[in-house]
Amino acid sequence: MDLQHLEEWMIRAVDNELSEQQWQELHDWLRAHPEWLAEWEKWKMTKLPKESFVYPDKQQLYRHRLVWVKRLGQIAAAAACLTGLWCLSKIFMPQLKYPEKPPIGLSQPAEQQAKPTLHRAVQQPDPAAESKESVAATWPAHPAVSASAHPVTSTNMDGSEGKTIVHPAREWTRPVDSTVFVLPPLSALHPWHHQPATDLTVQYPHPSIRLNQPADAEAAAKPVLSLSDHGSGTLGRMILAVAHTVNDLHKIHESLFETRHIHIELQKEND
Amino acid sequence: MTEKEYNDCVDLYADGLYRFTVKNLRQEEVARDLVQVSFEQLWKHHKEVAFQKAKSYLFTVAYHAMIDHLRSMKLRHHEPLQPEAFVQQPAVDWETKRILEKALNELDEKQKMLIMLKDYEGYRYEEIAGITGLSLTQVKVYLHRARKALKRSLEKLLVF
Repeated sequence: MDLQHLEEWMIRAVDNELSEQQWQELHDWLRAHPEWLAEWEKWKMTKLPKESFVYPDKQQLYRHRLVWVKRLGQIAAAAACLTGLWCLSKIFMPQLKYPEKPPIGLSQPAEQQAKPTLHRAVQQPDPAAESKESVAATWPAHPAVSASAHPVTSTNMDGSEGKTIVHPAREWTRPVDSTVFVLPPLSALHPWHHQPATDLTVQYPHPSIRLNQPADAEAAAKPVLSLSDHGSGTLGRMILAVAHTVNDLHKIHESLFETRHIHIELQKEND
Repeated sequence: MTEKEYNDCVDLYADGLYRFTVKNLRQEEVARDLVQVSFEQLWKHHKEVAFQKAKSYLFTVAYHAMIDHLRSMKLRHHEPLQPEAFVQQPAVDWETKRILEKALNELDEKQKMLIMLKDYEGYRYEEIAGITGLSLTQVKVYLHRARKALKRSLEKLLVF
């Protein structure tokens, strides 16, 4: 290596343009000629040191369409997560119980719905004359209800047949402005779990309602009459209870709401 | 390149391009404008420019824009930049750095740009030739002269 080429080699070395072999050759020559090391150091100082700068307005350089795409992507991802959670809830969580549909009768329009009301009979029937036979209460608003003395055969819940007999002596009239289901006067509140044995059928257009009046004398004093539906099968046991106080009436209402029974509006009897 | 690649170019090269322009022009406002112009040009032609060529494309645009700007302004002042313009400084002798900065500003425009492309960006002779439009021989000659001029300035101002 001569001095003329030495300068060129040193500059190219500072520019990092020497090959591996040339680097080694320069290195060996400098080791052999240490007086040229100072010169080499001067050339190395001409290399600019690294400096960091930060461009201050990078946000203005970006293309914002990508930002909107990212946001749409984030929204889509959030919607997908919510959808997935909803699907998982449908699979693993128990089904929500929705309020039951109002049973037949209550769902009918008010003008069609026969709302039985208990009244003390205008003509008080003779308790002594009261028999164990089925007693039919008239339902004048409905054509299916017969006010005559013709016996009508209906099928009980247990499959047996019962006769519905309208006894003229105990046919109660209803007030003009209301649909009244008149029952004999009742003296005490009967517990809910009572299971009456005999039949007291009320002809109701749809479904037919049968009142089960207790047969025995002791039970006869108890006021609760259970109405059982054996028509369409969509209804459970229907219970009609007479309360002699308002508090009792509220308790009855609460019980009716909690069970699959028709809620029948009751009026407190006024003696 | 895609839009995403373009935005990646912003992240990768905006700082270096800004350093290149601000060190050459020594005017931050003008340097910012030139960076913006460079990226606008890149976006304008982003479909024709490959992502791998984006850096050299940006520096090419910035180089020619600076040459045009310097020619129009005939700028020759040598005031050094304020120290706060530097975000991060390596551990070097401030005295040497100041002298080197002074010597750098005494180079002509092309020599200064080539030295910066070489030392700041690490471009090879052939790449610098492609950016500047000079021949390979011209690039070597310019750089050779630039190094010699810097060495002379350092020898004058520093006690070796």
